[in-house]
Amino acid sequence: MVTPLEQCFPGLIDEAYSITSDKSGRYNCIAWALGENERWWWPDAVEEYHWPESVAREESVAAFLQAFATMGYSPCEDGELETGVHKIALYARDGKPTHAARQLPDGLWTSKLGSLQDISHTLNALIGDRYGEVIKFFGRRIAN
Amino acid sequence: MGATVVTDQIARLSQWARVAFATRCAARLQPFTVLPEFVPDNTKHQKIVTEAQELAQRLAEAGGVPPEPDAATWEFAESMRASSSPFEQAMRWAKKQAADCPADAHVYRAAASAYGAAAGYLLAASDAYVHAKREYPDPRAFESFIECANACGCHDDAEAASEVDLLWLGRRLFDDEDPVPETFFGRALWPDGEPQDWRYSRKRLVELLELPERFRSLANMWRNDTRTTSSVTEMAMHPAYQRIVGFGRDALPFLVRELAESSEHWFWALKSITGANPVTPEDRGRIDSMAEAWLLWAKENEINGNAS
Repeated sequence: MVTPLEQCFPGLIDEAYSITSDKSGRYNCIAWALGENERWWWPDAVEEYHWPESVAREESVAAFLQAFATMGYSPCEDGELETGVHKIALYARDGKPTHAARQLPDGLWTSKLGSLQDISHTLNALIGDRYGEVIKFFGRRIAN
Repeated sequence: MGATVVTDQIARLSQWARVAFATRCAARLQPFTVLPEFVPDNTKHQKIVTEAQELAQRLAEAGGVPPEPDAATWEFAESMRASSSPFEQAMRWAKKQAADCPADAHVYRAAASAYGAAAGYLLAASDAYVHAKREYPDPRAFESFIECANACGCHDDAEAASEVDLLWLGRRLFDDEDPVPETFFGRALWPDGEPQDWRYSRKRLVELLELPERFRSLANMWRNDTRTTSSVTEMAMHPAYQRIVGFGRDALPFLVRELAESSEHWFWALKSITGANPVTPEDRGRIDSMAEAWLLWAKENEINGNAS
């Protein structure tokens, strides 16, 4: 039987995934990808949500690149698992960022799905009408 | 629409809806309380209407079961009823003038209509005054008003009927225990000085009555369509969300209630509608703190989230 989550993301049907949290509207995928769960990050025009002061409030890849840079992330080649590197995958649709996922130590990815739950998943599982495609990877080297 | 229909309509209303309508009539009387000089004690009537309105307002604000009127109340109410006579006298005078002066007949017919309406409204006001007896409003008040209006070739009875109809439509919102909100007819229900915006159109009032259901439906549609998105812009640009923003300040009680119950993303709508900015830069993105800031703002601005 197809679950409500699989109805939203048909790519989950044929991929392994697991739900790892309850639903929450208190943080979103960008916050979760950057390792926090207390704020909703977004470059909204009315300035109600969190966004780094120094970065333009616009829904562009360039603005997200700069926002990730404030947290120590820089663009990298791919989403291959690398020891000592935290990676983020950025999804976009029609050139506009829609979603971000963070790589887990086992090579899978963790995502916060809007106001729904966190899941662990493959990157392909979330590709589709809602989030578009993965268009960029970012990495941050972590201290040993 | 004839007198019988209006009277029957009134009979179907709840206690507080009848009070609202009667007081509404009293409110409409205000412009007519400056009577022609030939009417004896013409200033006294203005005072009577004002006092009736004030009392009706106090009773409505008290809520619950109205107090039993005492002898003095009945006496005062009777004096109000008696005072409708000069209005009727003025109406007859105006009608005669219309017949005698064909060139200005339209002016006098309008005056006759106004005084006729005033006579009916005053009776209605007295009914509001004695509403605890549940014998109000006396159908004679409205029949008198409608007869006057019809005799003058006017159709104000349709407007009165329309208002009774609206109170009937709103029966889910106020019953025998719950007073009609003072905003129901705009500011005229409990007028504070000269009403500025009491002539709400029927279309406008119907919109207000339908607003709770429309809000619920649009909010559910928005919630269902945007639950997987992180983009606040996508949420705010959703057609259902935009329609809610389009309700303007009418949407505020519903938005405040939603925020109090679930801390959802209504911040953009609140900011767009009000222009206010109660969230500090440090709290941006902290949903619970943002909700608290907006709820405090709503309290300070007397926006009640107890929308139906």
